[in-house]
Amino acid sequence: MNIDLSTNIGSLKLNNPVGTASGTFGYGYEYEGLLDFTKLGAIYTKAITLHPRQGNPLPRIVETDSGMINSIGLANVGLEKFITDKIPGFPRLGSKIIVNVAGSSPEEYKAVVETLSEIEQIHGFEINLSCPNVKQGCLAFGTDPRNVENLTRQLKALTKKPIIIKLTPNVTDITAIAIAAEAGGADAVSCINTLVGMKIDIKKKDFCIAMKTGGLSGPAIKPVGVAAVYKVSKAVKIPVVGIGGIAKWEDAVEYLLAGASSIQIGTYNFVEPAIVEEIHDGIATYMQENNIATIKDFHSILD
Amino acid sequence: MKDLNGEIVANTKIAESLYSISIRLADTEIAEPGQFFNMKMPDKTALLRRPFAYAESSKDQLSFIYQTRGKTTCDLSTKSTGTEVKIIGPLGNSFFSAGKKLDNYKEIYCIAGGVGLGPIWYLFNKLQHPNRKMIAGYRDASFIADKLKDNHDILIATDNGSYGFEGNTIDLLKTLNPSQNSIILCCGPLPMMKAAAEFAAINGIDCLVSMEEMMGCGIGACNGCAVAIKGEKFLRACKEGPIFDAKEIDWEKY
Ligand SMILES: Cc1cc2nc3c(=O)[nH]c(=O)nc-3n(C[C@H](O)[C@H](O)[C@H](O)COP(=O)(O)OP(=O)(O)OC[C@H]3O[C@@H](n4cnc5c(N)ncnc54)[C@H](O)[C@@H]3O)c2cc1C
Ligand SMILES: Cc1cc2nc3c(=O)[nH]c(=O)nc-3n(C[C@H](O)[C@H](O)[C@H](O)COP(=O)(O)O)c2cc1C
Ligand code: FES
Repeated sequence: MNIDLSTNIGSLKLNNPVGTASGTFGYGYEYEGLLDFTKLGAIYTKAITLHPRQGNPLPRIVETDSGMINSIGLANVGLEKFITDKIPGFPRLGSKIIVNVAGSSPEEYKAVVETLSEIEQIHGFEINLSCPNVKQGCLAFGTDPRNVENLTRQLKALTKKPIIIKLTPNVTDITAIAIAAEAGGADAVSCINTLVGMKIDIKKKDFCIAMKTGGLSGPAIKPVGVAAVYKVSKAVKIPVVGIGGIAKWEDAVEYLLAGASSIQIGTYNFVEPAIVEEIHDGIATYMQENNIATIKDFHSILD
Repeated sequence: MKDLNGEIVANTKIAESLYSISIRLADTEIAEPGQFFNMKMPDKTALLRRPFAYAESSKDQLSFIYQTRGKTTCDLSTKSTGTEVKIIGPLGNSFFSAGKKLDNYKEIYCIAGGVGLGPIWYLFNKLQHPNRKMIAGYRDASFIADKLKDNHDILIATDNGSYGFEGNTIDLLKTLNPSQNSIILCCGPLPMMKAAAEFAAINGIDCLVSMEEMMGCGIGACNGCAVAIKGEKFLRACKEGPIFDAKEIDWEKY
């Protein structure tokens, strides 16, 4: 049987549904030599902010049962250095590049998207709405549907490249946020970002992360992600990118069956950089064996 | 850089809670002292890889010295030869590439505490310098590997005086009166490196330290392993480090 692994995000066609999640794959170059990039449909960069950010105090990461908590604080080189130092080499990697964008005000998001929107080596934007909105009580942008719709609309007006809104699971109803993103004109939504988590060192009687809480990721959160993708894909018509705890091809297939049009591997890149290849090949084999011709066909299997 | 399959070929206890282990690999790059690798541990219940510093490195084998500190290192100590692991390395900079020309110094003091023994041992053995000295510090005699006791080039300090000099490595270093044109190369527990940095600063001596941070990726991609640098800055232990000029570190944050 002829299978087609390609998948679309708005006008952007990806060769296959396998991506690497923002913050876990640097700018891509760090992984050169460790995996076959032709099996990677899209690289989602570390969050880019208008100005460089040093990030949060130490320690920033800790392992938990089947997962980890991070509080990196969006440390990144900033927009200017991203353009001069990182973008020129992207074509060499051979994957589509989607820039994850973060900010502390709508203006910052807009400045990053507007500046990058004319650059050929960039194929789309993923908007990280888990950041605190400094002007509005520091609540995350992604927790208020009205804010999400407005910001999405403003960003869409600035670029022809696809806009993916990345949803935080730390809300009462994730579908309300997804619907707002769709109403604002988003080309896709991705979910989930990390869950709020805490770990305490009972010997030292101290928090394991300097910021006390951080973002929980890894295999531990997979069922939360699958459920979110299922609910969101029922609520919106735009494609859903599934993220959360993917560590093997079976996990990716679960997400596709739940309604995802593509997936991202996050924390597991640290464990097994070549997992991208295994997941790519595993999805293809599963499609062959189960007579699934296209990624879309996954979505008519479950109710 | 590649992710290489390896196999344990030796794994022996060398002192209290301290093990020496050798891994056979396919074709690998030779590491410099201070560099590390990120290892997928045999313990399948752990998620992340663990970083360790090379104690020896050749084209087809590496060794390191580890302490049974937590979950995966305790498990590792029970593994027999033939057990498979995966290794990404060599990673990070080394004592030779951290911005100091070691040949230019009159005296070199290599200081190890705890698991700093592995990289410092490797460093000491690779240094050609005529005036190199190694100091190793331990809580008491039970933590000292025999190969250290047998080597008369190595000075040993124990906190309780049960072997060698009574006191810590820096107390012992003071008794040697390092000249102005010396450099200290140090790897060990944080309090020891802090003391070394302070001693070096007071005496106007150069000092390189190996910073130990929790690591996510180990290859510069996640910014999890940040080291606090003076001026509210951070650098990555796995990329710009793990070896840093002690003068650069913002010790108040530690
Ligand atoms: C560059 C570098 C080189 C290292 N070289 C060596 C070496 O040669 N030999 C050796 O024995 N160890 C070395 N370590 C430390 C080693 O990585 C940890 O001891 C190991 O990860 C502990 O794993 P575990 O599963 O046994 O402990 P866990 O159960 O994960 O943790 C046990 C305790 O150790 C602490 N810990 C765990 N990992 C680290 C870490 N990376 N840095 C600081 N604290 C940690 C935890 O906070 C916890 O309190 C090195 C670390 C770095 C960053
Ligand atoms: C160390 C680390 C850094 C991250 N940084 C970002 C980021 O900058 N922007 C973002 O949108 N998500 C970030 N994330 C979240 C991931 O992209 C992903 O949504 C989450 O980790 C869940 O996937 P996983 O379980 O496969 O890791 C980060 C995650 C980790 C572990
Ligand atoms: S451990 Fe990821 S950047 Fe150093």
